[in-house]
Amino acid sequence: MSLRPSGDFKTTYVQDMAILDTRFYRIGFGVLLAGLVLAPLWAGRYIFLLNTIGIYAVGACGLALLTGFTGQISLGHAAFMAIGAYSSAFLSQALRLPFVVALPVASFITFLFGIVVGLPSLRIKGLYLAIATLAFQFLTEYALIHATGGIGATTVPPVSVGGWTVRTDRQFYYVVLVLWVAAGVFAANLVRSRIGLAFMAVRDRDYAAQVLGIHLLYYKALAFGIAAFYAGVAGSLWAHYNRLITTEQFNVGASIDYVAMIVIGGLTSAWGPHLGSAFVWILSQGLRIIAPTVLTVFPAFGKIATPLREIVFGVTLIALLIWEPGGLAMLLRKLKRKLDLWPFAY
Amino acid sequence: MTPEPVLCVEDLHLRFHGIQAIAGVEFVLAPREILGIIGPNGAGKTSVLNCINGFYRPQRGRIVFGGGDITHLAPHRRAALGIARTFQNIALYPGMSVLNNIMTGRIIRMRSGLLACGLYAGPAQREHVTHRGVVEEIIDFLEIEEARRHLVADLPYGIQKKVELGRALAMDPQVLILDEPMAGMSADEKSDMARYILELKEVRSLPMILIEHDMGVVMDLCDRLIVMDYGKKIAEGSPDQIQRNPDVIRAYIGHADEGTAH
Repeated sequence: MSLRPSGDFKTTYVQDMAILDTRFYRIGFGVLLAGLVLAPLWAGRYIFLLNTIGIYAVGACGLALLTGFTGQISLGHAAFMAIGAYSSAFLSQALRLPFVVALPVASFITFLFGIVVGLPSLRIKGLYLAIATLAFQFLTEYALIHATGGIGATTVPPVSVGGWTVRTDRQFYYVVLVLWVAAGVFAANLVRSRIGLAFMAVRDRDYAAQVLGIHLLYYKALAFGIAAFYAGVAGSLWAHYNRLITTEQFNVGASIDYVAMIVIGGLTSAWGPHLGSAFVWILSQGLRIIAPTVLTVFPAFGKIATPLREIVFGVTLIALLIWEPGGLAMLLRKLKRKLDLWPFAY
Repeated sequence: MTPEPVLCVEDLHLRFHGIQAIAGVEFVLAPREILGIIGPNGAGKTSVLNCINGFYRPQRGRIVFGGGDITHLAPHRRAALGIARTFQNIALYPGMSVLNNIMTGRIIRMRSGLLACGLYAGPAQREHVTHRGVVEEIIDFLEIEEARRHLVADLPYGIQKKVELGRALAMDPQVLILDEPMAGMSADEKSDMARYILELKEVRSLPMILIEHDMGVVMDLCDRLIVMDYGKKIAEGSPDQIQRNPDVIRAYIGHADEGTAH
């Protein structure tokens, strides 16, 4: 089981800089991908859960780049998702554009919104930025409700790729999976490249970044733009998946869910957003299933049954922040280290 | 005839509300020269550096670098022109490894665009490998191979100082500004740092501006010294001349005392 055997000597920088740097990881990643491709075989009726996890993981990847790697807090990530969703709805409903055009165009529109929202981040930092992005969240909801004639809801045509119309959850799953993997790989590559280094430099010490020739405004705005683009992809997918979108799906609660996902998953890990999204949605679904059972056994829980999800989330977040600020990704890394060294303590 | 100077500071004035931090400082930095700036605490030494790399905007005066006026350029533009510096209290990126810290110095030399970075395979990877080679040479030069993968926050102070020098060197600078590179170091670490600085001068012909309080180090390393007190330049000359200058001695301690004043 040794993950990094002695004799694993790297002779080129390419080997040294690889993300999956041992055979164990490469095989493991292959197995994971195969499992995901074959998911319709094992997931059964829970394929909808995988769709949700995948879509939110794409959005969370963007927020992880922004908050985890660039250090800019955003409480308006769901608003970007909403902009992606409504743009996509408009493009495919009113302009009759096919999905393969509507998704990138909608994401690009969201990217532009991200740049604009990111501009004040040069002056507004930390908590103040959190409040500013929260204001953007409410403004977006308000604007979208008015743009849709006070209803806030709109329908979206189904995805159609080259004459093949996606009708079932299982078919849609493959649309999600392609974009999910692409988004995850792109983000993982980005953070080890020159742009990722610049993001982390801005996060860790902005004045020292300037001295190294890093243009703060450019990289902060770029981080917001990329995060928004990811949210736009997620929003567009969400719109075409649900076929009916309302502003409530993208409210401030969803923005906070996003923050919870990246904190739970691990802020500075390529795996963090994926683990976080999976954790949050599996937990939500699990609670929905066990809540009625708990209620029949302990009727006294009746009062907290409705906010049960929020309570469990809150406790999980606090527990992680206290005991494992690195999130699930760090827990996995520690487990791996234990396995590497077992049966020795160090 | 004297060679064309690398950097000229002309009639620099900097004022923070009521405090005149710099009052008419001027000097030039010649190629291959190590110029020391010394003076008591609060004399305005670091303020001069902050003007040179663009953190402060002087109310009066001019800074000329590489033949152009850079007085009003943003800090990142000056870095791109080749001005590198280190900080008095280490300004590394604590959440990144030594390797990545030094690699950030190469960002201005890298050209890969957003798409190339995200796809990685191909041009971005080739570029990354090339620059990794440069970073490894710097790691060899500073003898910090074993710290390569450590997070900077986990490393002892002396090594952090080395990493900060390495990060500045990774920029391939035209001029290097060192703000107290030896503050808080042990004698061994100081002699290591002095060795690196001399080697940079001899091998890379890198001109440097050095602020340092250890007078032994300053007198040995610097070709020329400027003494500042209350924002003014009170003396300039070779280390020998400075050591005998009565104004300098008065500024430091008020009475004639040889050697390490601080």
